[in-house]
Amino acid sequence: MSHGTIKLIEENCTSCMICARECPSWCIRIDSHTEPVRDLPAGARERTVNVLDRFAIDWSLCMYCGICVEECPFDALQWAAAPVPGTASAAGLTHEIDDLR
Amino acid sequence: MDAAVSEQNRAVVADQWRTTVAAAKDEGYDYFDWLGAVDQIGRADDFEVLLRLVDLDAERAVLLRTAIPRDDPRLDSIADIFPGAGWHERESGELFAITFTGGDQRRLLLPEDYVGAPLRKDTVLAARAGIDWPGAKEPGGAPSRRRMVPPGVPEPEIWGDRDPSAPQPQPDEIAGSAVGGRVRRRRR
Repeated sequence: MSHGTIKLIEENCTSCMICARECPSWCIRIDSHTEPVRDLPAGARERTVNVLDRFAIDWSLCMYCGICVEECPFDALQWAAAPVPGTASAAGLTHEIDDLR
Repeated sequence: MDAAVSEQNRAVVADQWRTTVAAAKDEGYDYFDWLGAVDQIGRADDFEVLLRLVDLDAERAVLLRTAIPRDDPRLDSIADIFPGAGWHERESGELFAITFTGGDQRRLLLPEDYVGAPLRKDTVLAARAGIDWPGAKEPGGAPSRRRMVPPGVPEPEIWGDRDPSAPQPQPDEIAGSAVGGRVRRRRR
């Protein structure tokens, strides 16, 4: 597997922030909120789950070190072969969830 | 080179650096591998300078290590014994602000107008202290109960947003607070 880009497997992400904290170039931005878990059995205590709102990697900052891929405890980040496509502006190098799938 | 090379460690007094290196070369360790430095702040007020020499014929190597004080770091250059060490001395020299006496004092990697010694552990990534760190948020977006600081940026109470009337922070205090993670209560 060549290291062209990093893919997000959204279903696995728990918004735990570990990748954003470990990233040496500060290129991962995450927004999330909590929602109560529905359909709990009667009498069970209330529980909440984190819901990912935004996951963005700024490829103009990323140095492709792969620390985020290594550190993710839920295997939500993965190397992919296709390189990041060129853009006309630096802002275009920030990829959101839809671009990272 | 395989793992069967026998490695040896030798502590050297800084005054005898040149003579020890020359003696090791005569002993057969005539292949210069690398020279580097380590900031020992928090453990000792020293820089440790390390030099690895290899005896290719006998398949043995020696690591020479010496300590020089942080407040006046100077060591004799060995570039005339091993010319290849010159670049390594220039690199460690500029990154730690160590003077290799008798060596080449020109910059190797840093720009001419760069101020500071970036590999000293009390060097603060000042540009980062001013922008928000993406890792400061908690999962779920709830306001954080513990304050987190990124590695390389010291705790604000010690270096940034500090009490102006407090005494100046010591270098080892800055280095100790810049390891990242949870903001600790000041130990004083």
